[in-house]
Amino acid sequence: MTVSLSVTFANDQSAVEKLSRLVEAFGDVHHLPQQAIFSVNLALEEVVTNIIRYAYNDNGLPHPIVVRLAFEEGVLAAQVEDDGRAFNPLDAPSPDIGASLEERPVGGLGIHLVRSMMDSVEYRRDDGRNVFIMKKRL
Amino acid sequence: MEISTTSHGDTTVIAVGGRVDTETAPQLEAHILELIAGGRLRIVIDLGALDYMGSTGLRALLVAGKRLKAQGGRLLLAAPRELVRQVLLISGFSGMFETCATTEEALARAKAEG
Repeated sequence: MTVSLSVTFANDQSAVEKLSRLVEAFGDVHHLPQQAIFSVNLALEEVVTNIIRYAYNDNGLPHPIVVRLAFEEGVLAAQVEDDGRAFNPLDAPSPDIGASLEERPVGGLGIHLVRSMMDSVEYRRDDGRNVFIMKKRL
Repeated sequence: MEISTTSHGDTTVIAVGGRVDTETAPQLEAHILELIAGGRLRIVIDLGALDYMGSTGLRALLVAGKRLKAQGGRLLLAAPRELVRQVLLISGFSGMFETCATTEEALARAKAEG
């Protein structure tokens, strides 16, 4: 049986912390491991922040972003859906984590963390909406 | 996010608690850069009370670290909790910045060499 939580909020940065608390509560209620909840929260912060920053260019008009968490058969899945322009967070370049302090570029860390902390990530464009799905086996 | 800053001779310890995320990281970054501009070039970031750090927090450390290195200074990290420690590991930051288990150890290391 799947247990799930669906949250819809406006494309405002202040929503990220609220989302984080809801995800933690979901994890608590279903006794999910702290590590997994932390990873999903971190990944969600990256993805949602990027959507808020880059998916819209209509001078800050409100848009709904929908996050759905589901836990079934040992897999925790988080889906983020928005109605912005075609934007795939997976396209951001990965950083060179072996680079020294001087060589290290400042950007690209967020997507690297998402890819490292989640077991799978997938993006698709579906009828004018971006759909980003991340999964972690617990 | 809570920040508490104390001086120990030439070294400054910045204790960060709570969440460092997209909303709070710029404040942390600005604070560290202000200290550097004021000539504080040996800085220990005490992560013992930090619950969460995402990529904007890492970015703040990176910007501060580069600025310090350019001025012959040093940035050390101390006492990250388990989940933050994993983020530092995955991002390669624990290889880039000296990371100690305790603030005392970091202070000793900060004072030790040049």
